[in-house]
Amino acid sequence: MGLDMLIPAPLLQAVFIPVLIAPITMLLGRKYGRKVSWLNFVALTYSTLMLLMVGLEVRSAGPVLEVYSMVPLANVNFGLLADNLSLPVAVILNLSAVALSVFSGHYIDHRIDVLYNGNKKYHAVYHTLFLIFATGILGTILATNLIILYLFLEIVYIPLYFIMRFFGYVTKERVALMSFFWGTLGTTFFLVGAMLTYMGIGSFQIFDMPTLVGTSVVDLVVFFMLIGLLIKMATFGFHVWLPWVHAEHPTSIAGILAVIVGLGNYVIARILIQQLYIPFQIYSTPLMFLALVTMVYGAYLTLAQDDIKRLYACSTISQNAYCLLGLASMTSIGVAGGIFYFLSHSLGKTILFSIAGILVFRTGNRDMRKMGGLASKMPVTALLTIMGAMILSAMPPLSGFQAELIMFIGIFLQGTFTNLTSFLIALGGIIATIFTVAYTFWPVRRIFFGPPKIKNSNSHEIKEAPWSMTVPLLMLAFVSLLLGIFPSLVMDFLTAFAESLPLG
Amino acid sequence: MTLPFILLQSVFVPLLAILAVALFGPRLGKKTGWIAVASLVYTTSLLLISGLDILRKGSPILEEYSWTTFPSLTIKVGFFADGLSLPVALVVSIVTLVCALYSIPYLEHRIEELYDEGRNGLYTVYYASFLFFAIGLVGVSLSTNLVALFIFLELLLIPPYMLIGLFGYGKKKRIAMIYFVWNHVGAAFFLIGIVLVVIYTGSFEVNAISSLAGTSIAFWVVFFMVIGWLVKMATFGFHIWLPHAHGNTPTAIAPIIAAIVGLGNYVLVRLLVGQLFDVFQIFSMPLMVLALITMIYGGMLTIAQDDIKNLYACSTIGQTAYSLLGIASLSLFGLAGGIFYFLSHILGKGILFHVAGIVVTQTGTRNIKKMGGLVSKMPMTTILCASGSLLLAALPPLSGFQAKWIMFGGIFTDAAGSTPKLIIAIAAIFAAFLTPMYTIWPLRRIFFGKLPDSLQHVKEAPLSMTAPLLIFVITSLVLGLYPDLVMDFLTSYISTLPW
Repeated sequence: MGLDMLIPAPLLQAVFIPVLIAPITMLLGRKYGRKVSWLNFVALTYSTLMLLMVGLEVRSAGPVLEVYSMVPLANVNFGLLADNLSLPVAVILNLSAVALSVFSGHYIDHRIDVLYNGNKKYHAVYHTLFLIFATGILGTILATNLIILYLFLEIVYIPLYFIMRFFGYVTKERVALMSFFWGTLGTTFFLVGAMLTYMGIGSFQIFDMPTLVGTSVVDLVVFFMLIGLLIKMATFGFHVWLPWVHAEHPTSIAGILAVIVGLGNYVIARILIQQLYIPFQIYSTPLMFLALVTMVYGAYLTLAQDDIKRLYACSTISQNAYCLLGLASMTSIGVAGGIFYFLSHSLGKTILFSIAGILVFRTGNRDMRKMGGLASKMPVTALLTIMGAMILSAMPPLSGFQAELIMFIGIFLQGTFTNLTSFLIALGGIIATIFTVAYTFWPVRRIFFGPPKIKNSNSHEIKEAPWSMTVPLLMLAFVSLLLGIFPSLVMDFLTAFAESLPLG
Repeated sequence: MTLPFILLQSVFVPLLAILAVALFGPRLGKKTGWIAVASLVYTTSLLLISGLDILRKGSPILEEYSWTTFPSLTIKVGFFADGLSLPVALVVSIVTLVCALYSIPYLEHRIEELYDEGRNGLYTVYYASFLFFAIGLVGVSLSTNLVALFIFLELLLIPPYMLIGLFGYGKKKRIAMIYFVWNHVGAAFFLIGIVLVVIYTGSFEVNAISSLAGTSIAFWVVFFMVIGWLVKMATFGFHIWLPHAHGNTPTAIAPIIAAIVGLGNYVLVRLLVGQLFDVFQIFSMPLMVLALITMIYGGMLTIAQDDIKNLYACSTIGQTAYSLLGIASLSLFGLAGGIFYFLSHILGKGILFHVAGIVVTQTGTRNIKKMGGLVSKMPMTTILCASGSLLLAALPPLSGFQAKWIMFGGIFTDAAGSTPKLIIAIAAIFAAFLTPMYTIWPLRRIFFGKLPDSLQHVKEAPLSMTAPLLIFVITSLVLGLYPDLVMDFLTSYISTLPW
């Protein structure tokens, strides 16, 4: 493998460089405060470059696999696989982390001023913990072994708990514990599935799992893993924790949490669809209904919000369900579209949530009823919000449009549904989309246009956010635009993946 | 090239240290602890060297000493370091060493609190008694002779009796008695088992137990030994003594008490699983159910606690049962994972108990309800407590994570085809899920939230109390990242069992 010879172990580096840099961040943060975010930026950019390099390799030569032995007797190897599914997901999600690492600088600075009187130690704490997210997310995406996957799925809850605990809002202790509890409950269900797999085939390797088909235990495996993932994805019925956690965390990790929540989609694609297609089939229609209900319910819930953070939090419920709809359709284009939508949503949600963070940063306020007419003072922010809204509402030329288009093409053209089911899907999709447009654009109007409602004492302080907060978001918007105009950048990978599946 | 008598030394050097303590203690006063530390550094290094030796040669170390008192009666005393006993001996040694280090500042504070005069003598008594822990623990781990094992076990009753009685909390003398009586009763049941073995095999050797296989007496041997150890492991039904005793011991030795409690897991494997595998099968299901109940009960009991020391004490009940579950499953990875988990647990419990000691010393209170927000005053302690909590919660990247999945891998493999076992296995995973709750929640209550006014004066603990705990953290991190270090040993032992 040509490029790999140049730089050894790129995947291992991509996953672990963030964690290795963490101690340095810890030490430097105490002295340099906010500026240590640039170190994080460098580390994460480096890992993104590693991934891009591997991406070229995957495009030209095929999947890249790195294997390191861990506990050989238990058949547990530490393997990292970049293939047509994992690579695009890894690159796009890592970009969110890169953007947020820079965005975090000012945002957390402000938070620390409010909470801890500007004590520099807390910068060190935040930025060190932040790096663990990056490792956890990448590790989850690239893992080839169930135990390793489980390890990385769990590990993100450590920084999540502590960051929420230190920098969250309102009843942060309670919410931190809630996030930890629900997250680990989901991973516990997943662990049961992993253990059942081991019981059935004597291996934890993901790609050995197809041999489970036909054994007595495979249905239990699918069941437990699915429940665990649905909990993590805050699907309707399991969604109660999300509005709290997603709204009360410091906004600079909102994009990260959206990613963590959405990673369930990736795991479903990787394990339940790619490996266990046949036993998973039976869940197709029920899951599609569940997804529809979640889409509509989530959107409806979102419309009711006045608090801008809660608004975007609730919308994650709905948006995630779009991806689930695509995956549950069990059609190759639907699945590819679903994953693309997940990536697109991660970009968009990161932008929107970060905007909410900017608004808090500049106006000290979360309540939209107290905002208005900010466009003249914060034009870039307004533009970004509109772009974010377009992504979520699937409007061209941004990525959301392409993703949703592909997904629905797959669902309708390839799916063999009854007329009733097709009708309901179409109806649900349309309703949810209408709601989405409403809940993404209405806040734009409320916040940026119309008569200003801010109290006079604050209004003269409001200016545009610092560029270290807006430029990363612009970068993400640009990526979304790129993917909207050239969807093949990502779809080439995903279609190749989808076509390799034994689906219709 | 092995050092001569390496295992003999690792068991008995602390005896020499006791003499040194007795001689020089009264003059050294509070510095007496360094004698203990020095001897433990030495023995731990010896065990480490033994371990490397075993890895290199691929074969265990056996030392046998014949003690002929009568022409016809030769008593053989032996020490056997193999894949099973060495990791156990080494880790308990590390725990003892760190406790000795921690004792030095801790004891100074405690003696000042309790006694106005005769202080120098008290240091002597403490460290002399303390060193019996080292002899007893390593002795039990390495013994090949049942009587010797029992003697080492009984030796372990001396230090808690003395140390709780003199330096404990609450009604110290009564609690020391509770510990002594319960553990002695447990040991008595164990002794019945030993006596049966000696009578029916005519031999004192541990390895002789296997010759009983197939006889009707084998069942009773297993029965009495198991009961005896269930008492000492504070399993549900026999657990009553532990919250009192474990919660009121002088904090410096609390981790060692936890190690003694968990040592049952090792002894059960060495004596019963290793020797009477088929007979032990009968006990497998009942023990698994008992372990599961203990895990759940222990977990709930822990969550209910408001006293910081009692909280960690009660958590020992559930955590020990965890290992018991793995061992009772009689599966390859269940056994290995169970022992691995035991080792991981005592590292974590060491951190947490010492953190509790620090918190009590610095804040002057044991009541969690009166605590909160200590992170701002005691950041290092918070990090240590977080590490210990993560360790017990089996979260990556510390060793508990590795031990847990290995153990469950074994339990599930064993459960294949058997629905009751599968139900137990799945229930156990969810019971294990309780652990993060009862470790993270106290962390939150103690270190986060609002700092009460009564605690504004609190300062960080001295380095002499926090630094030793880093040894625990580093050990568990190393084992967490390179589980093979321990698994190599354990699997080499387990592959010798009759599968």
